[in-house]
Amino acid sequence: MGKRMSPPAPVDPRSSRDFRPELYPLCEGRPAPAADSGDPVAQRMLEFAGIYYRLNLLYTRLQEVRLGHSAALPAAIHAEIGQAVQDRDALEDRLAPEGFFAEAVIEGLVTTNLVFSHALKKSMEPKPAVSSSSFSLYVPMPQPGEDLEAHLRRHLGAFFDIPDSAVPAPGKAKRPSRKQAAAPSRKASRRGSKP
Amino acid sequence: MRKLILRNFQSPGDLVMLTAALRDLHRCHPGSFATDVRTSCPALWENNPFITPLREDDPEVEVVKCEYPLIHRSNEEPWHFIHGFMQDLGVKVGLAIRPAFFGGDIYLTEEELASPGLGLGDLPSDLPWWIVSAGGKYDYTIKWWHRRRYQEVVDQLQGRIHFVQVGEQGHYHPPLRGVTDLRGKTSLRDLVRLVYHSHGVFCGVTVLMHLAAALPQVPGRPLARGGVIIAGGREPPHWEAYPTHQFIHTVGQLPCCATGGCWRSRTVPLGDGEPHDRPEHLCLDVVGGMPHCMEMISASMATAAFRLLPASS
Repeated sequence: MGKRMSPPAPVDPRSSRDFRPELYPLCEGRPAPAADSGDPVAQRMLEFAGIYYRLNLLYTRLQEVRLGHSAALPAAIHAEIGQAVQDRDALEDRLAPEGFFAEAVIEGLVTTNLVFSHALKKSMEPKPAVSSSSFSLYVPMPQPGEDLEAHLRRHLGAFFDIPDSAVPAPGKAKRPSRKQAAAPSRKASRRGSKP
Repeated sequence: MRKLILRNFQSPGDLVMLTAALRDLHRCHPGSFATDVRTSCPALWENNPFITPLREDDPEVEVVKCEYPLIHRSNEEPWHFIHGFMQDLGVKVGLAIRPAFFGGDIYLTEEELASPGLGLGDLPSDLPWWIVSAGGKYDYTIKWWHRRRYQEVVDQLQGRIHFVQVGEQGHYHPPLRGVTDLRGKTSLRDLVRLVYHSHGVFCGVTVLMHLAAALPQVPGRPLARGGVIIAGGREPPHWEAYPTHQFIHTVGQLPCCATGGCWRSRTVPLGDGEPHDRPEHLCLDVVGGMPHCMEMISASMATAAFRLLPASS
């Protein structure tokens, strides 16, 4: 994230004695990052998580008042909710120039998860595993009317050129020799087979 | 007959402009070329009658790298983006190519022409519906207008226009209230189809505005598809704007875009290692978290632009 928009260190409600973990939203479906993380993305996530936790607490308190389980004044809670919404809007606006945004997933009255948009998200997502047992081949589209088998033979010659004698009879498993199985024909390798 | 493969792997908006160059190559020189393309957006070439499957290893095939160097003269000379690929292609094939239509060239199937798809049957039947894109890619954040302003416009036009919000997953597209939300749910081909059936597009300088100009109008609608484009001062208006759109720009109103577009990339650096973070690509005049040129465009200015368009009434 850019240096110009460095956020202040967020207050982590998890350090509070009366912390209610069931009201602390997940971040991207996982527990929120550690408070001492120096990572700017994590810091921004914590800012949003903190403010939605505050909103969750307030909505829950309001619900408790309505159900007669609390003697707090609803008007006071409404005012606090108004302030928390303003603070969330201010946070959204502060981070808007860099496109950092949290979208709340709400169940009932409670925000349970936050889904983030930001510039580094793509680079932070897990990369697909590269397995040594997989490979890809480039085969151009055949021309209209072109014989498909001939087209595939031309481009995947190595895989078609295995002699019939190398194919095991049913019930007699026999691996083709390494030379037969692996060595692509000169033609196929020139045409762009990729490891 | 010469055989050409046109190559370009830029963004969809650029490629809509390349569809125009291909069309006009054939219109200016009918029967002279067999053409194929290699691009990042096959969806834009579906059903295109100017495509003939060609192989790069065919010795008769010429592979043409398509570019638009004309953009570097766009602040000084009166050219539109539509001339960009066309001029470059003309030079590379040694022939003059002139635009035959002010827009790209996209073809839909009968099924696509019949309905917008995507389960949009629930849209209000008594209102025109427009597509809105309230964000964009992270490489050009300088093109973004504030989402609260998009929301204000949506709210101000409630009961007159229904909006369908779109946006690619992984890009910045904060949600709007009171819209049909199709963010992350449309392929490029879905978007083509949606734009065709929409009454207009409300967005920054994006592929949507080029699609809106490229696609034919739905039969029975007498006027052109609308467009309200929040452009600011990044691009010279003559390079980007289409005549039937309301293109709200600020070129000539600020020192940083006094005589043309600034062509910069980002409002603030994002720290993602991209060259767009370099000082020469950053906005020179940020006000309230927005480029000054975008900040100058109020929600009521955009709403007023809608009122000028018959397609929104």
